[in-house]
Amino acid sequence: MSTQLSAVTLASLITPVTVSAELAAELTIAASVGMPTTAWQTFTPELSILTINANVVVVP
Amino acid sequence: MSNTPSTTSSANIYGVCMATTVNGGSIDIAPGVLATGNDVLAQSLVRRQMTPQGSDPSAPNDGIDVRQFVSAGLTQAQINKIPGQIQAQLLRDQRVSAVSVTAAFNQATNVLTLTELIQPVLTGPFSLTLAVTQVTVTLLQSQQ
Repeated sequence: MSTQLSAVTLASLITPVTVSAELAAELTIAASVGMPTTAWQTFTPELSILTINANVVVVP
Repeated sequence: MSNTPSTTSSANIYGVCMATTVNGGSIDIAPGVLATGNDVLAQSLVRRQMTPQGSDPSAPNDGIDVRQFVSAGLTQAQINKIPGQIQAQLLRDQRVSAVSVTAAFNQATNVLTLTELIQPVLTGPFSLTLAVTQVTVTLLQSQQ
């Protein structure tokens, strides 16, 4: 008796993360530790740093 | 955080964020210092004027590097166009309701002096005075 195995690709196991999703996750964590994320507007250092980080960690 | 300001009155109307200083050609984070009140907005507007458009991934359509305006032999016609461009950029901040900018260029020293009167939406007016060269921006005065 033989068993047929279908090929599993790495891509099929990984859900791509977008920059915006990564940034949202980072902001959620920041808010959970008490940071005033809703007050962070454009050119706020915290928002710029987190956005840069989100762009770095997400592989295009 | 031990130096977190109290959450009362207009002091925190713009929230709290890391304070930054302008150090010649760069923007530095002031270690352990938080900005509140109009300082949040004032520092944000200075950073906006030192950020080339497109260089901040969180705001790719925002920013204007005022140092780009400075060059030897700047004509009066070119100087006259500077306030309008800066005003348009500062008004992109939704916390700002009105802006008045005047520009003066010293031909001998190649220093552009920008005097900006800012009227925020939620708080009282304040002014910023910047001295700009081809490579540096110096905040001469921030006054409420």
